[in-house]
Amino acid sequence: MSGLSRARSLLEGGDPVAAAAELRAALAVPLEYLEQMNAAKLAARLAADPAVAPTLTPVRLAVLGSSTTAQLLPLLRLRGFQEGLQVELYDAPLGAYPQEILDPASGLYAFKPQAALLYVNYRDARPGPAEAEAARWQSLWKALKDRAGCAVLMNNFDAPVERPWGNLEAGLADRGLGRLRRLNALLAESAGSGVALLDQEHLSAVLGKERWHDPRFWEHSMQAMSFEGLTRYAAEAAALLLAVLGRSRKCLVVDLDNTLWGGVAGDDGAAGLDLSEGYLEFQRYLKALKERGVLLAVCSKNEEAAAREPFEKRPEMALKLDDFAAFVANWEDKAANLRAIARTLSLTTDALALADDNPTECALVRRFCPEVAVVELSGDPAEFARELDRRRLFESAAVSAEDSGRAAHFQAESQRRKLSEAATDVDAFLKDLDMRAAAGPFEEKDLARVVQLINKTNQFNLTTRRATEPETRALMKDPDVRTLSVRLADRLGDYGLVSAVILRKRGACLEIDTWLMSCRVLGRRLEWFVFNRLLAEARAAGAASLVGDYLPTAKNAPAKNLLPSLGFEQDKDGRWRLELAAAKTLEVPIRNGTATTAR
Amino acid sequence: MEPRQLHDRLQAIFRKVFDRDSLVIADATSAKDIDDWDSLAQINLVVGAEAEFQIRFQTAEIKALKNVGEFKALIAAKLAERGGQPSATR
Repeated sequence: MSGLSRARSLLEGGDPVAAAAELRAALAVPLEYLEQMNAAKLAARLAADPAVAPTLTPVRLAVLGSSTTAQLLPLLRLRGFQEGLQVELYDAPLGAYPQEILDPASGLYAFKPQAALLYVNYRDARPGPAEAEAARWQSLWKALKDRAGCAVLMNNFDAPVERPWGNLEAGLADRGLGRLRRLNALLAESAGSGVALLDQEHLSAVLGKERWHDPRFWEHSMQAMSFEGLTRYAAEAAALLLAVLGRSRKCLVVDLDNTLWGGVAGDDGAAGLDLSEGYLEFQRYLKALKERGVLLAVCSKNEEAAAREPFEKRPEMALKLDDFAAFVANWEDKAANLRAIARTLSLTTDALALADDNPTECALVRRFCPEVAVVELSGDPAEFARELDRRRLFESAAVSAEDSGRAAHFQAESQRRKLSEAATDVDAFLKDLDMRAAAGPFEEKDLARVVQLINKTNQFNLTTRRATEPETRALMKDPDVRTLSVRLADRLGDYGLVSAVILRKRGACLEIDTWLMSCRVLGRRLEWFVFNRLLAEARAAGAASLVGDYLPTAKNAPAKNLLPSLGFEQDKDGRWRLELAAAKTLEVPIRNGTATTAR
Repeated sequence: MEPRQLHDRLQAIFRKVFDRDSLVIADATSAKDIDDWDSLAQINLVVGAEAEFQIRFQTAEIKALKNVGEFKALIAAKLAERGGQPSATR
């Protein structure tokens, strides 16, 4: 019996809540169009059931279609139901989207939508330059946003199969494929900020253009695409709707054995596990998810040490332990572990998705945590990434600060570069970064990082004096020594502990034994911030002057001009000296603040 | 394909399209016998039959289909045309 039939029997047997869970499980795997239409009828009955309706979140969606919407609407309701939404729809008159948008008295505005979907196709793109056509759509978006205050969803244009100009079309700026591609690019660039673009062109390519476009059904009843294509469109539109409502999943919890690798870590040992290309490709896909801001977590039935071992001992693993925001390996049940993971990450369980190969575990989670999206990986590991991707669980409406996430260093870095390009004025650029730094004596908890900096920093390092951990710990206890470790964060990321200074009191002098800084933060004027702290330290130590040395090495040229640039002058012994009476603190674009967590 | 087999397979499609497990069709069954047999159902029947029998209807044929008997005759003709061999329909 199919999942759909089971769900129907459960409803008829008087258990609508179990029927809803069964229907959602059935929808997690690809269903053909006719089955989806029947599932939609069942979902409509369930959504009206007094036991199920209160569990759904109502949302008002206006559909502005230029082709038949009769099949799309039930499919949209179905996909909404799958994700816990009660989708109320406004079906605008066919093809009347410009009037509906431009007339403040239209049915569209009377409906007061939370989101509006422009369901259009390549036939709606008017002839002429792509720029003018893009501007026409942008002005429609703007009118919609201004008048309805709703989120705008629109698909880009699905290029047709036929090409009267043949291969030349790709190069034409004002007609055919070339123009449509350009128009799509312009729309993509101008989307964001309240407009989410559905990449229909991609969907049609995934299915295959000849299967996507069915001219017979366009002629028969103005169906913009095949029904096979339509089911994909509806799923994609529902994923975007969830994204604009802020209900996309935020964390993917993965199993380990036979999910990230083949075999059982506890039995086969790290060395005996199968890390063939299929598993590695899946790991790389997960890593890419993590880099765009999706949190990854592990939940595995394993001994903790056995679960960690493959990450430590198999260098070919694409995922590393620090890619995971939470790592749970024990023998508790998965539902309880998922709740614990959600708590750890300050999320609710409805922000979680689980990818697991074990049907029993999946069933257990569906039963006890029905709000978790369960991706039951089946069969060939080479297809795991596709199985997960198809679910569209992590859609976001626009690239945002939250989306890039706390660990999205890569993205922050590229944004920083972009800022650097835009802001030609360095002062303004640095100010715009909103930097915060905190300096204080070395602390035991930071010791490993401090020792690492002391022994690894080659470039911005005045003296390149190395020290072991016990030696550094001894310095921390020496009454004549003052130490500073410095953390830095800006609005794009947290750098953690990036600079260290060791100062020694010698008579009326405070001597700079060590001053180093990670080269990741060169060019931020952090050294000026540290200099201001040195002055304060020297005054607190009752010193009259600061004295330091530059000991050249093959690599430390970046530190060569540090002391003279800060007003230090060379004395007769060749040492750099600054009299405190003459020293002034520097204006820096960095606030004193708690730079959050260490990296 | 045996006429009986074709009939049963088409009936299964009708049951799926109209979402009624006990639906029984006869050659004379037409849109006026089944409440939900509208243009939307018509196109669903066509899509269902195309997938089931791996055949492809022409637009004019889709419009002309009036009852189960015509539907069966058309499917049988298309199957005969390709000699009962599975064909690439796309």
